[in-house]
Amino acid sequence: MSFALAAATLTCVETRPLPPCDPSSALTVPPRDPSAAVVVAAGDIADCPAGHQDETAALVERIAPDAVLTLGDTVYPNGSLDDFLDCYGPSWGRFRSITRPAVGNHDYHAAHAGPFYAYFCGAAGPPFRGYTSFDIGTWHVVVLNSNCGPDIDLPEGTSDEFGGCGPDSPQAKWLRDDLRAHPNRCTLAMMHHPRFTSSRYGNHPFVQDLWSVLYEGGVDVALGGHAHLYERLAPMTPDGTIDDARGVRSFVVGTGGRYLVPFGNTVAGSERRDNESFGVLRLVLRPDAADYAFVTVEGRVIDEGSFACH
Amino acid sequence: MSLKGRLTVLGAVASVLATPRDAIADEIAPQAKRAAFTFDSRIGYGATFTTGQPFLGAGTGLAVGMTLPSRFHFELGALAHLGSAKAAVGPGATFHARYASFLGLAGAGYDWSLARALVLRPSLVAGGILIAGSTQVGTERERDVRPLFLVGPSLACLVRFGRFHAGADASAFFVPARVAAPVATTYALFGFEQ
Repeated sequence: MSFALAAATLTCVETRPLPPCDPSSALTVPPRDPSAAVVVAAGDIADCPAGHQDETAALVERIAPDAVLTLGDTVYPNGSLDDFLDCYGPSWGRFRSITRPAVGNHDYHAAHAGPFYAYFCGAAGPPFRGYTSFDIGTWHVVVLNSNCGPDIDLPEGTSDEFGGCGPDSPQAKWLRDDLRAHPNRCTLAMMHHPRFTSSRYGNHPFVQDLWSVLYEGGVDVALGGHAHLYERLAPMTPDGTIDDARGVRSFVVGTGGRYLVPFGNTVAGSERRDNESFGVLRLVLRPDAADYAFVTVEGRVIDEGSFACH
Repeated sequence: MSLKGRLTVLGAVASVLATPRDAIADEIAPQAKRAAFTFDSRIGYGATFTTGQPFLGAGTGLAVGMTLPSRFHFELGALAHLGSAKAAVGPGATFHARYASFLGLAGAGYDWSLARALVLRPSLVAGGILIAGSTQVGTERERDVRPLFLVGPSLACLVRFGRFHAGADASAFFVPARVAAPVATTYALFGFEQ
């Protein structure tokens, strides 16, 4: 280690400018209409030079949301500081002050996802942890770190850094406490890996324990990315049983700019699927319900509807 | 050229082609009667084929080897690379990441004498790399040492002058780990034989 530090002193270091740091994950600007807060969500975003992040950023600008939720794999391929500053920054970076991010496996290609935590600073919660929460309008939002699985595109030992996704993990304990402390009528969860998806990547059982906490805590909707496509799924229990009364409705929105991927087997509960369009999910968060619409970069709405909170 | 001259040249070429390659090599560089030990110092550069933060960069190290009378060469080497540092600063935000690496390599090759003083040494090299460093965001710092296995081909070209030799080698390594990119190194080397 001392060699590493000594070596670094012999190495030229270019110090790059970072945008101002939000001190916490709490949104600093309240929604224009707290009873109808507009948020957009997408993951799998900036991939210069081939990605479509400029088009999706232009779409976000047209929607003019109160908050932007990024669902992980913020920059490709390696979560580097330069890619955050030079690729994400000029596109989605213009919404950084209203962005609340979830960390993805590609963000962990850089050691400890350091550039991710440095770029988003307090908006991502405490450094190196990846889970936090905040309120928007009448809704409570929990941001989770789902980088726990045996993913070939995730460095070994990543989940050890933040304690994993198990039922007794620090994250699960924090989540139970956070949901208990925020008995909002409506709650949204966001994480990189979706529990269920019809993509070729398949479902992600390693987030089932976190989903159990969400289900027991009465969370209404979970957003995920990772699969580069759009999918809406019925309210479900953590093991995949459709439960219209208490289930967690979910959306997969991996359409932020990285190339789109084919579908695999259609999972039970899949209600709408698209893998031909880049776009974002627009949510209008009302006191006891939400309106959703998947909007493509061309401005087409290819899925829309509403759901009531539990 | 006359017909007799052409036949003479053809005959010479045929006799060369008919000569066993080892016999040619023996004429160029007579086969040693016993094993020789080699000691090298190296200085060079390593790169990873990734846009991630470089952990190799400029490096230096030492290698000891043994060349058998059969011209098979075995070698052990240890190298340190300076790696790289990244930094960024903004209002209320700081980021520093520093990574360097150590390589321990073992290789087996064959000394192919091209001329009396010129040797090509193709090898298969395997070993480990320890990537050491830290990432700091604000006041929080994560330190780590990450080991990786690597294996790949290497080619050295050496010029011998007396007991000493100088040259260069280049290697390409496959790194069988999750989220690991191939590695390439090239070094200038200088050493002696005993």
